[in-house]
Amino acid sequence: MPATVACSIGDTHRKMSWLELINGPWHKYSLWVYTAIVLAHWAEHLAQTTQIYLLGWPIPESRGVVGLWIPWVVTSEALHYGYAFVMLVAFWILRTGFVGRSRTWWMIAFWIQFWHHIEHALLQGQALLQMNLFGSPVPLSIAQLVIPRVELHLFYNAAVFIPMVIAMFYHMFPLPGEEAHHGCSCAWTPRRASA
Amino acid sequence: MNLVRSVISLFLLILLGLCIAGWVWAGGQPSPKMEGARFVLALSGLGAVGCGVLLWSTRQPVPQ
Repeated sequence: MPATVACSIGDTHRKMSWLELINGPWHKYSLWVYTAIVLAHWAEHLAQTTQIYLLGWPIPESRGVVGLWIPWVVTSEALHYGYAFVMLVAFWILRTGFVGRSRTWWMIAFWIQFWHHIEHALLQGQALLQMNLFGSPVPLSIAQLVIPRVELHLFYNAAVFIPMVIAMFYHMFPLPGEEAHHGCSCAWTPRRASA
Repeated sequence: MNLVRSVISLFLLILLGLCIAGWVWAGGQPSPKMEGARFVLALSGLGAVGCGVLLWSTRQPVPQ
């Protein structure tokens, strides 16, 4: 889909592929669903750090909200890797709905998530092989050599969340000269096309 | 526009608050972990502030 018609609303969407639909007439709903998933995951990290920093819980018992009832969601490397992969794929398939500066921020979020996903792949690999790097008792990622896991993944999620919301903000409220966004269902105040 | 900025800012403020709380908490950790934790918490806090500044410095679009 050319960038100049990204995210345009039309009545010909029955002929569109699903990829064109989620970046066109369904872009708003696609981003709503994706944002809800990202916020839910992000909120779990915020809850976990609240438990550690403010409530003084021991780290192994600080499992966010869902992890209190279902502990394996925190301990499963496969689930963490799966989420990181789904997030990476979503960044990629939803990218063509963005243009201009919002596209730049979206792709910054994608590349940070790419590295985050590599780190989770390393952890998942060690869990599968039952063999940890550097003789560690638990799976270890590269950055974990110098940064504790809780803080590291709070940082990774912040580093992905921040450019992602900036991209969405510039998509909803396009900057001057980025009129390609204006016809999108995501635009907060969609402009009428000039006659 | 301000509603969207406010909702995003709420999350950024929570993040900033947790980064400050984490900075204090990390002070009680052994040395190599403390520096590592504080480094990424500082980056996250600065990112939250930077994001807030960027969002609130964007001017309202002029209706056409």
